[in-house]
Amino acid sequence: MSGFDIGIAMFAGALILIALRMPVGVAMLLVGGLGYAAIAGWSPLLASLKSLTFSRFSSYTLSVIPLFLLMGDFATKGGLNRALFGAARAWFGHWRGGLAVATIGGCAAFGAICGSSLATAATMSQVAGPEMRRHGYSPALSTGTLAAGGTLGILIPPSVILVIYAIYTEQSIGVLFVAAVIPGLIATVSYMMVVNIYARLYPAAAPAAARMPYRDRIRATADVWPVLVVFGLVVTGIYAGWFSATEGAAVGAAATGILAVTRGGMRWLGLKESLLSTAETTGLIFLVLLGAEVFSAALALSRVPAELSAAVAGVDVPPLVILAAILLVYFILGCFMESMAMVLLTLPIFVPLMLSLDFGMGPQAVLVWFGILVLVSVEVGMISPPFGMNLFVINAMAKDVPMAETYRGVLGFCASDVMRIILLMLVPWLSLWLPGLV
Amino acid sequence: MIVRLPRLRAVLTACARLGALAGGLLLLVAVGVTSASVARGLMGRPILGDSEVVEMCMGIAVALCLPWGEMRGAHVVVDVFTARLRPRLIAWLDAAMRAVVALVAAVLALQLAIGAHGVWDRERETMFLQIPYWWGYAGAAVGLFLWTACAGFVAVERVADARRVGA
Repeated sequence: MSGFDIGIAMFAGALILIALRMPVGVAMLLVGGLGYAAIAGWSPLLASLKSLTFSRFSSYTLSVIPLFLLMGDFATKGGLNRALFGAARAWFGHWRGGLAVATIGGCAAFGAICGSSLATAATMSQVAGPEMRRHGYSPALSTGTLAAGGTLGILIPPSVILVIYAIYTEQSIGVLFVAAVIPGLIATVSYMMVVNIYARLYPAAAPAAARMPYRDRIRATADVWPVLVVFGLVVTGIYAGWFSATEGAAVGAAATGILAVTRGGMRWLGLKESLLSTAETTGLIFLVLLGAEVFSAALALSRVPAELSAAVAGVDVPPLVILAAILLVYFILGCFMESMAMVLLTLPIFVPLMLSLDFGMGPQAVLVWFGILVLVSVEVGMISPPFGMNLFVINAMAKDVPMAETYRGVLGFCASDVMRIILLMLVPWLSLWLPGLV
Repeated sequence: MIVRLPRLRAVLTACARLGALAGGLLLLVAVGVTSASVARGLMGRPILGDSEVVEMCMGIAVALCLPWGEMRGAHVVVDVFTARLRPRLIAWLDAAMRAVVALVAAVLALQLAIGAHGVWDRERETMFLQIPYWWGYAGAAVGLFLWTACAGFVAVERVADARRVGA
């Protein structure tokens, strides 16, 4: 077998093992290891494993990930969700479909300190779900809103997927964070518009709440403004180079921890729960990262990425069509695969491919733009029926709502997502303008 | 089964929980050291070698987190393709896959332990603070061996489950 054949076999093998319920990280590690050994021999593989595990786990760059996870867990277990939803409700509650709009707003604010979509969806549904139901919101709208709102957790920086993408493609984490701000805001506004349209079509499904006097609105906001300060400090600081991404994440985690104690009422039990929850996710993310490292090293040895990009570059198709095809692949994979694993599995192929295409901009700009597009496509996969992960999480929490209702409720949001992807693809400026300012 | 699986699960879960909390504390140490370094950096007197402490803490912490994730069954598994298979088949498939996890864990742990011996033998140290590398390697190896034990246990547990399903 040639290296190329081994590379193709690796891809097929990994996908089959994953489909047969092997944990994703282990599948990549195993297949990558076997492929590596088949091309380079067993002793180099075993020799590299002597130091690879520790050097990956102790990587200063990767330590951003557990720190951002800790920050998100402090926000989650520390009760900041309640305060954020309260503030959003004070401002938007009396709008058409007000509580659902407030849920989107609360998710966006929570996403600004939490980098995970599932965590945002699960946390916000604890406070916003019962409230919407109590006010007579239809089950479809409330679960759909929460599932869609949850994706703002990864769309709005900090975002674990963006961190991994940045490290993998050797781009600045700060630049990618800043690039994600405008697309994140577009997502927030368009989700709010979807709620508004839904509420116009089915007024009974989303009654408005009473208008709050401005004094109360300001009081509710005063409870949460530090959250926005932490977000601004972390993102701007990393981008402007005041501190490294790891330092920013550490400062963010420390500040969010303090907020959770002072504003959210976190105590020892909450701290312990936060640490355990961070530990659970950290271990498995690093297992996937380690697997991806071995897998992509073996893939690079097989020369599949290089030969594939050469082949695609020879085809006479407009680059945008190829890009659309790549995003379609993400969209389909995203329907049944965990987002981070999917990104790590495909980047070794798609990044060289993207760089070989001519989009009329520099390689840096292409990588930033592509990163945002990948992020958005992955996120759509998380809420698209039938397999979107967020849908399952939300549905599991709202026990009396049938899955079909959740599917129905989320369709409008999916439609707005597709339009947003097309917009971001046709107008790279939306992703590149803000990071280009400085 | 002569071994009392639930009993063993309780013991391993307690160990894994302890490991995860220790890992969490190391993470807090990293947060503290880094925040302090940023604060002192603003005053123009940064701490030298703070990243070395962070790296050591992280390397050990991540490895100590793995057993907890294993005991909690937190692995990312794609289940849509097998959802329509018979429960008995799924149970055996799971048992087989968990056995592979245990095997991979064992290889990683063993190679890391060999690596730990290597850096101890060569007395390698970090640049600024001269922290011996073997501390980190050995700490991480503890995590990985505990992970291997947990993964092995989970595999056995799944086999026991599979024998019950449809029996």
